[in-house]
Amino acid sequence: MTPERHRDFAERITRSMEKLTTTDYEAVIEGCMLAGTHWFNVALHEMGMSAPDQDVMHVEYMVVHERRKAWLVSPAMVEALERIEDMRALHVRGNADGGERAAAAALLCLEVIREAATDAKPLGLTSPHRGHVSLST
Amino acid sequence: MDITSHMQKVARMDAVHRRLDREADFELWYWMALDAGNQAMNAALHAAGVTAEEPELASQVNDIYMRRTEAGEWERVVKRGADIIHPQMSEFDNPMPEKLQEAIDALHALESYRDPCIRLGKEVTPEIVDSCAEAYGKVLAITRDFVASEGSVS
Repeated sequence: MTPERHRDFAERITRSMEKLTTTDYEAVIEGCMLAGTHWFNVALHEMGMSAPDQDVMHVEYMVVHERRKAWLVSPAMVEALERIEDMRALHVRGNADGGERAAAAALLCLEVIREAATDAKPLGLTSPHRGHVSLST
Repeated sequence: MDITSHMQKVARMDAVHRRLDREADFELWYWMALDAGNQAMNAALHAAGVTAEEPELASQVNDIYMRRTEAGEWERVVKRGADIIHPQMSEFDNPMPEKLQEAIDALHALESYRDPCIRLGKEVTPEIVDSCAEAYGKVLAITRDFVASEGSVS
């Protein structure tokens, strides 16, 4: 999707999250994951590191070399989204203690990702289609 | 995770789902239905003996789970046959009761809107919202009945 559409989704989801508190920690963490992933895609598209038809679903699902490049450019952003993703096993799918603290941390991570996306500028790198690796195409 | 914990998650997630506006908050409204549906499915699969109640917690990747160590830390482990993350990404080693297959089909129907509507920008029409609500209702109705009838909730 285009950066504009990702931004629209991220902002819609963030508005919905205003109806939640950290006691709804599963929903807060999931909202941060969804909105954070849209902001993450905004950042990658704006920096020219991925094309609009190469959206990331989860950092954990990224091809290793693409995750490495994103981390080199914006380590805080990559680590913030990974941290949110890691919360899902413990506090969304699972019932580990500390869900409310995790939700509060997820909101801080989301802000890190949003700021990185808002500040993202074209880096003048090689076209992402040139470096995209797929054995099926 | 055990059946009781799964059903507690269903109650929490369903409460948020019901509080949100199905149009203005579609993304989270939908996502809580998806999460609650999957939790309910895990409870029913355990009750049916299709999958096992295990202490490990499911991650975003098939067969990778979080296990609590004796020191109280969390570590990743690889195993099979515990909680699922999506029915369509799973393989089952035990027979599936016919009734549960209906619930899985309904969960598939709900999931079919996930990437198009949440991640790829497909327009969410009133018909899609209704279809999601119907599929979610069917998943919860079947799985809750199944868990109750198996008498497995401790």
